[in-house]
Amino acid sequence: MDTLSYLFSGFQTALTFQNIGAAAIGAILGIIVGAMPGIGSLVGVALLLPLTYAFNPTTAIIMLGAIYYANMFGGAFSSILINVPGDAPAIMTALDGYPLARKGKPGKALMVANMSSFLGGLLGMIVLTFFGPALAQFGLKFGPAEMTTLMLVALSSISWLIEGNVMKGLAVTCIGILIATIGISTNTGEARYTFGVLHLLSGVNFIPLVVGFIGMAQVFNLLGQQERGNDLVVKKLSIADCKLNKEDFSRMGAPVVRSGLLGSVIGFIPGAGATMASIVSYTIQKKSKRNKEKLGTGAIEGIAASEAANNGAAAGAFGPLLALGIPGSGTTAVLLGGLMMWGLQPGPRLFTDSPDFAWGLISSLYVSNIIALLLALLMIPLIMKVICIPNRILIPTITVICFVGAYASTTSMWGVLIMIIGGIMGYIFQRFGYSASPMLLATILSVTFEVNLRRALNISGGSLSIFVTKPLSLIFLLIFVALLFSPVIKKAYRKAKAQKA
Amino acid sequence: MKKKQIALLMTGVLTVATLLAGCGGKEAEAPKEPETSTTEQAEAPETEKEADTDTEAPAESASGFTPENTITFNVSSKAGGNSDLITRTLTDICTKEGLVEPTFVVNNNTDGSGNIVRIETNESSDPDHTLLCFSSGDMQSLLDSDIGMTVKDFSPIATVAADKQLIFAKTGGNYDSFEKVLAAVEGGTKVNVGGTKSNELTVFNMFAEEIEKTDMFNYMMYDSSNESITALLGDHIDLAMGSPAAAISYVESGDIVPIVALSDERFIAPLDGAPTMPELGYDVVQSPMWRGVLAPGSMSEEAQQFWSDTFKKVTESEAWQEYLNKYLLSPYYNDLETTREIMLQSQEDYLAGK
Repeated sequence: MDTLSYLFSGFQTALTFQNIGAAAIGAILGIIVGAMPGIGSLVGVALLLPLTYAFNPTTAIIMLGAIYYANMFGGAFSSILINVPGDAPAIMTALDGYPLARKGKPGKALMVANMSSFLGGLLGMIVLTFFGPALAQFGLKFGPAEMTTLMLVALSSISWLIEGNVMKGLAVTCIGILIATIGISTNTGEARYTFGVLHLLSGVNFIPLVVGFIGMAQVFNLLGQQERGNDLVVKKLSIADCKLNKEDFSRMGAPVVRSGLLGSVIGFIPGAGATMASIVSYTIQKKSKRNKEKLGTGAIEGIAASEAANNGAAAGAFGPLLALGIPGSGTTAVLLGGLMMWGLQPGPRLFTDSPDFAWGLISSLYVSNIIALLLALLMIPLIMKVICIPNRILIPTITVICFVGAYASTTSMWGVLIMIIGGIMGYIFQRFGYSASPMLLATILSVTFEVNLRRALNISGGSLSIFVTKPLSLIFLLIFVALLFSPVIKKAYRKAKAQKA
Repeated sequence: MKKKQIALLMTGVLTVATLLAGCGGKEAEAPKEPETSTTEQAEAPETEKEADTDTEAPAESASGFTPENTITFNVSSKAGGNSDLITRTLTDICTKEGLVEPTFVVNNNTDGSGNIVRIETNESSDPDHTLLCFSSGDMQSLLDSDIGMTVKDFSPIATVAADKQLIFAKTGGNYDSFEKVLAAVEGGTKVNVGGTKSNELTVFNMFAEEIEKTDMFNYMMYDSSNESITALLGDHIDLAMGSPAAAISYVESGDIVPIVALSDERFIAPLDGAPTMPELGYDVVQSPMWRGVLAPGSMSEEAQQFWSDTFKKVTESEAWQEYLNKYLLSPYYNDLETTREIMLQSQEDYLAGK
């Protein structure tokens, strides 16, 4: 009961004219900044943080929440419309969002993305409201052993994303793992594969790599087919195209609920975050037999799974932040800095010492979620026309966006260089039928995998028993083994059945 | 017509994108904290400024150097990181107190583990107007890289603050006192310790050596004190190294306890429960993580003296005291000669511990 009364008093504070206005401004800016590739939520929140200095603490916090939240909505726009993921979690959204947009349904793709973001976020907030502190404690249980086995499950799920030639899929996955090993190792402090290049000491910056591999590679691709122009130019888009019918909603339902809840729980694990949530949810969705269309070809289910998961995780990340003072991601770390300025004392005593503050923030998240959805929906009819832009205008535009994004995420020309190299490699990959997404996912996952594997072995003195003796780790290990052998067992079962018949 | 509209829309998007990217760089330069905002600088009472400038004038002439150009202050951490915060506080106080007239430009660059910005500092074309934020925690990335530079290649200017460490354990766990830890390692149990890879590792090694049990600890490297304390809270490690600022809220909430203070005196409440090594019958073990300023090796002696004197005044100011209190740091100003000795000693300690 206390929970609800705190939450309602939070709503009372949040729902004044001034606060809603601040949230709306925050949401508009958040969506725009979130949609800029390379700027993404981390830089976006940092960039817009100073704006809140002008307001009183309550309004400022509500605005911060809106900025943070709307950023998550914005990431989907560039993924869907120009196939340049604004941020790492949006990579999965691009896999189905862009193909659907190219089918002449950009409005529908954006609508699905935004509705799923809203619903996934809402689920995350409900989980946060009722189970926040308890789940934050659960998140702490994820130590090196648990993270290692969880990453094993996630890494093996990459195989589901591999289309066509399995060897090609494995090859790009291995390249991804190799890229992840470049730089100074966290565990030993040794420099690896840097070949004397100083810039490589801190590893290959991930965002410019993504922008290059997906965005810039697409520019090269478009250049190749420039004569053909853009076949979508002729098609007239109307607001009616954005509407979702009953069937669309029923297709979205299950993925949104499953991914939203899964995303929220992953959000509670320190160091996992929205990217991991969207990868895991998307791959699980891909395995589902209920998809009407194949994922990766513009399926609504794919967009819904990815977006619901990353927004669920964005809300879930507030759990460890508020209940323990542990920022689960880079963005929440910046947000924590902003909140501290306004008197929030991060740490385990927040809910007992200043419940009004904590609950006020949580209720403002609900408000921000609604405002961000409304604004995003208003923007769709206007922004979906981007898809009709002829190639001769689109090519230079995406090129500039890629350059700006790569520079903005690293504030150095080194980022731009990585982006260009990534673009060339990405183009070669595309030409020869290698898919880039397994590589990018392997790069993200194997960094976490390696650090945790070495830590776990360090703790156990080199013994592998640590992965079996910890209950959570054992569960993940069993899931991993099941995933690994399920095709073999299925095949044997079918064979036996056929023989019987 | 339609094409025109689209072109217009695109131009708008590109302009906003370019502006935002530009602001990204600027944001890195803009003050983080509200109290350091430029508006407040403008509002600082003129009289105070004048008075300060008057008192500082002799120091400038004493060193025979007055900065005339824009000063580049290089930082190897991101905006908002510890090194960044300390740099911005230093530069803000310099400006507000009227100690330095030209503008400071804070340049954040984490490329190459911070080594790019270190090379840039040393190769600056205007060495008298270039500074670098440097702490003992940066020693590893400087010395382990192959850029071929050591502290000796720079001109150490001053240390300005220090962070000392404590060893923490989970409340009510198997290791929540020094005696329990000692009994465990003497009984042959290996104890897992988490901490950062730089200073915390050095001082923990000193601790293990002092109690003559170097083989009995597994040291797990984490990227920040925050991360290792999170691991301690989740029971993944037995002990965690940490600075007061990173741990204090968890000590207040009763989740973790400090078991040894690696300092020559006890910390303030609520960390005062931890005994120092001499209290436990050993020699003092401490290796304060100092934070300080380096300059290019080619900086003139006059300029070195000027900057050393300037930072002395900064550390004597009230605003600096507030900064130290906020982040639970210890005051630690040292002059040119002492700073040089401290930094070279840290370098030797690091190389010896490798």
